[in-house]
Amino acid sequence: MDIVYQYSTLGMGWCINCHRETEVKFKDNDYYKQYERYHNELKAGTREKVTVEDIGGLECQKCHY
Amino acid sequence: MHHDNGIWVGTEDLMRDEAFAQSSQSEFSVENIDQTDGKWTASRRDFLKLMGFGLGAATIAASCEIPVKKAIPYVTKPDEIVPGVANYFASSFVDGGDYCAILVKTREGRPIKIEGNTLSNVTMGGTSARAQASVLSLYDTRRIQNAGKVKEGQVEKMEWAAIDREVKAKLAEGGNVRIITNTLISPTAMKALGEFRTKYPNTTVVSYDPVSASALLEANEKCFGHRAFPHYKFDEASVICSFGADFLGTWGNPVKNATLYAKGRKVAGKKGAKMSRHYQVEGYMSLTGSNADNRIQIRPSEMGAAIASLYGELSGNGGGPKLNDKAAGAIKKMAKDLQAARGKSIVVSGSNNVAEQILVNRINDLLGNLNNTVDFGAQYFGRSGDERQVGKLIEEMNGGQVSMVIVWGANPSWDLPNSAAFNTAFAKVGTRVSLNTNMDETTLLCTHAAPAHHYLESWGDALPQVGQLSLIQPTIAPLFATRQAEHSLLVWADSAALKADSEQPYYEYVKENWQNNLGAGQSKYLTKDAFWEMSLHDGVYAIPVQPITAVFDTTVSVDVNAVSKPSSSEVEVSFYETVNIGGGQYAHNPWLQEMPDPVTRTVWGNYLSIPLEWDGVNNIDGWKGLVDGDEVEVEVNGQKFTCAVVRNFGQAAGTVSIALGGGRTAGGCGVGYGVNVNPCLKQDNGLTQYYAADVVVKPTGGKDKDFACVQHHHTMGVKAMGKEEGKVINADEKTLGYKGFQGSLTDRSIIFQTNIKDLQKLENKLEAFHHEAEHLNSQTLYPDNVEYFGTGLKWGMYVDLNSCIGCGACQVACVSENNVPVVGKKEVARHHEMTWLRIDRYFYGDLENPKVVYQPMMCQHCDNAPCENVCPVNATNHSMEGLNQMAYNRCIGTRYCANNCPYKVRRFNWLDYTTADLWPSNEERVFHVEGEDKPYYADNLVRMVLNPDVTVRTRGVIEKCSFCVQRIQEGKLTAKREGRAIMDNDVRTACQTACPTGAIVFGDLNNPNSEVSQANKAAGALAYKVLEEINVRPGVQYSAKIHNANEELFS
Repeated sequence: MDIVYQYSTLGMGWCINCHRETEVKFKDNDYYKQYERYHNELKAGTREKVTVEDIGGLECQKCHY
Repeated sequence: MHHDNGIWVGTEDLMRDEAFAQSSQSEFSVENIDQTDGKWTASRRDFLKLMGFGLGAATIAASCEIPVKKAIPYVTKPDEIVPGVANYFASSFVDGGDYCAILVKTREGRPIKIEGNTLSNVTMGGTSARAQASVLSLYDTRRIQNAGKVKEGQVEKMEWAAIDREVKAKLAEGGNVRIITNTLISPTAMKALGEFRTKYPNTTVVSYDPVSASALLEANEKCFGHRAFPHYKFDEASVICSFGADFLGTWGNPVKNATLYAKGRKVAGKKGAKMSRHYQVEGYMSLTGSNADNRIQIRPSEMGAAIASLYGELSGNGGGPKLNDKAAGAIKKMAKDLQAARGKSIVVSGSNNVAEQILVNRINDLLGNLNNTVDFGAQYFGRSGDERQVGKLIEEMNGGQVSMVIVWGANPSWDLPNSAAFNTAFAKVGTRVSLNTNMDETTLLCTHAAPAHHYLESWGDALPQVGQLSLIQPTIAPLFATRQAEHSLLVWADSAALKADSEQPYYEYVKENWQNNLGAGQSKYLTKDAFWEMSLHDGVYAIPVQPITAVFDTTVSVDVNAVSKPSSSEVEVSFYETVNIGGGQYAHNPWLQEMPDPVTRTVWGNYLSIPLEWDGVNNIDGWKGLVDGDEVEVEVNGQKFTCAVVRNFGQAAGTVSIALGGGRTAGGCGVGYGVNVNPCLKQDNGLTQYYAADVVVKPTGGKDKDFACVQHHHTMGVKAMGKEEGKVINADEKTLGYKGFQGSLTDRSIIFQTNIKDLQKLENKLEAFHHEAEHLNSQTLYPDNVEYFGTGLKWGMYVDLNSCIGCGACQVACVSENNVPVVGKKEVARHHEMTWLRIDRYFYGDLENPKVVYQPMMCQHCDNAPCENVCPVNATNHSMEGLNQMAYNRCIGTRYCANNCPYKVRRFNWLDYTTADLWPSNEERVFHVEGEDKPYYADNLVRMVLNPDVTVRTRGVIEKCSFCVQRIQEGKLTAKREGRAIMDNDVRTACQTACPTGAIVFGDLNNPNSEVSQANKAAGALAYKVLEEINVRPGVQYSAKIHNANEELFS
């Protein structure tokens, strides 16, 4: 039988790093319609993508409540 | 910038008391630090040991790894339960006659929170403090856990089959059986009772209420032929007059009354809106009286004279006892108002004198209110007790005529005025069976205990109002070996209808009664099963009602001379029921005990409210020179008791008042708090009178060392005379000085109020204030509001001070939702109360007869927060959605943030109130409430009430309102997963959903169509921010208090 090991650290840093890089399904989900500034920036080309960090994903109380 | 709105909080504030300036500048009281709680030894090694930093713990603390905890997942997951997702079940909160249609939020199979059921036509989605707190009493460690014989305060366990055999054998002997209960509003329970009485024809049911409304019911039966409360349409009334009826707090159905009443009071933003006018005639300040536009103060013995006086004005038939001139003049003017609003007024009375209630009925008749605003087509049954039956019962028991008494949810051994007589007679009854849930005063005197389920574990139904049926369903399997009261009765009655072998026999019984009787002939659903399931789903079912035209029976004697006679004694006392403790039934609920009484702001006990004496110039003193917490000995009706006093601006000279419900002696955590005043109540013509004359009050010289009144805790903007400055300063900022410093303005903008006829003036004033504040605030280091918060969501709240009646439902809801610890009386006295949301009570207007405004104060989530900059470890910061976040695990407890908060809304866990600490060694010095052996949330049973979505905080961290961030996150996730924009209904804070009047509105300020944005826009200039001038930019707006007082009433 194969050896099983823990692949991800599952620590807070691991969560945060992914949030900094992963793109949010910004255009497909109507929930994000309200982020007008980002939509405008994407259209204007001044912004490449919207990550979780951009919509406040790194804030303390998003996870620690 | 001066806002002399003439607002004050209490005497010290008004009198610029110097000592008070000293004490209130220290936000955290340093007076009573007892060294007995801990041994503060000096050595460093001991210190580290105390802090639990043994070598092993220190190593673990250094890394990010935490001790492993084991969790056991479901092997086969039950279908309905998704771990982490709540299930809501519709049910009804019923306790005696108290009723509220509710939704019960359950997590992993246990109820944790009560919400209102908006489908109900009775309570319309609102709740009361009592309903919110009821979930905690399910997890009461003092519940009786099995049936058996009662021996020396314990239950000697018996199997149910065995106790059934014994009881049935006794019943078979054929003697007289009496069942004592409070108001019963369950049709199916009545059916079960009916079966019992068929089998045992010598049974009678004696039903009484802890606070009696028998006179009103008798009067209604005499006058209209209906022994019930009518439906009062407070929303359609333009003049409301109450003679001592606390209809917003405790009388009738306060949730229903408050919801309807508020509809006539919401005028902010509605140009030209009409507002109702509320007169209250009373002998003490009740919750309802504090909300009135005009209060006519009388001595409690003058109530009859006051009613007769109004009757005289309206009917032309004078006579009856004479009322004092001031009140008589006011009533004359009030009568004019009432007559101008024919058919659109309501007159009610809380009096327990039949003649007075008949007069009130006649008054409503003369005013044309009958069948308009006073409607017998939708009668209310929440109080149906007849206390005269109790007197008869005592006689029978004394005469040895009763062989068995079954006590069902009542506590006659304690809450009757003549409980002593009752107990003597009670002892003569051969078999005494108690169906109560706790070992209360009555159960202690019984022979057998057959404990019933808590309502959250029960099946049942309720018919609180004609045509409005509602169901009770269990939200958790019974925790203990208890059995439903109705089930017990049916077993003892050998009921053929009870399917004793089925899994839940009473469930079958209720279902059968609903499908075949209550719902027979219903056409809303195609099948009986659909009817049952959908009714259960909705929780309520409305049957169309025939309108009833009530006619005043002209043969009834309307006798102004039969009312109560005014006394000329020096001091009179009023006895009243409070919003949180009731007549004592709720004394064992720690959430309700710790909820401050809205008017006196005291906790854990009942205190004598005494009047204040103003010398007309400068000085205000408590009566007899007493201050809050001083002890007095009171003698009334041959009874003596000792209690502490609290000075109350609403108490007229020559009167004092004290709440019922204190001094319980058995059954739960309320034992030892307060004083039992039930023996002081006298009966007049068989009916209990809730006042007394010839009261003697003697100061004893002692003090209640733990006296707890929270109004002077966490103050903002309280003025005092600064000794050094030689002028009036703001007591909270003595250290800052006052010379032009922006932060130490002496007149603070906390409450704005006006009479509705001066509304435009206030709007102008507020606009000017807002402009000036904006100018002051235009300099800031922080990023622009629009740029930073303008995208995405921005959470904000709007609180309508006109709708807030101070009932406290939101306060208990917040405690329930957010796992806020209970700290007990002594800790509250040390300013350590933990409630995140407090309801401040401010007085304004005439010193001798002030008006009151209630202001719910929670964390304002300031965009420019003074608390965020000062945290040395950045435990509190601001989210881009406008929330001030609190990261409990970062907090090291410097309390700098709490110091800086101008609203004083941050709470510190001074002691280990919850045993939530991860390190067991830190729990050596666990906090104990006096009389308990561990903190309330330390027991595994009580812990079941905790909301798993909210961290339980340990000692040493700050906590505060989070705008229910757990609900915000849940709401956002729901919207995200459904791929749609977030809407108002997704996120509703606990305080918002609990409120019966809709005073609190929460939502997204960036969405111009959200409820909160609309409310702010509609209110216009009337929506203001508290302390806007200090540039903290709060996210909560309040709308100014508008009243509709008759300014000419006393001129």
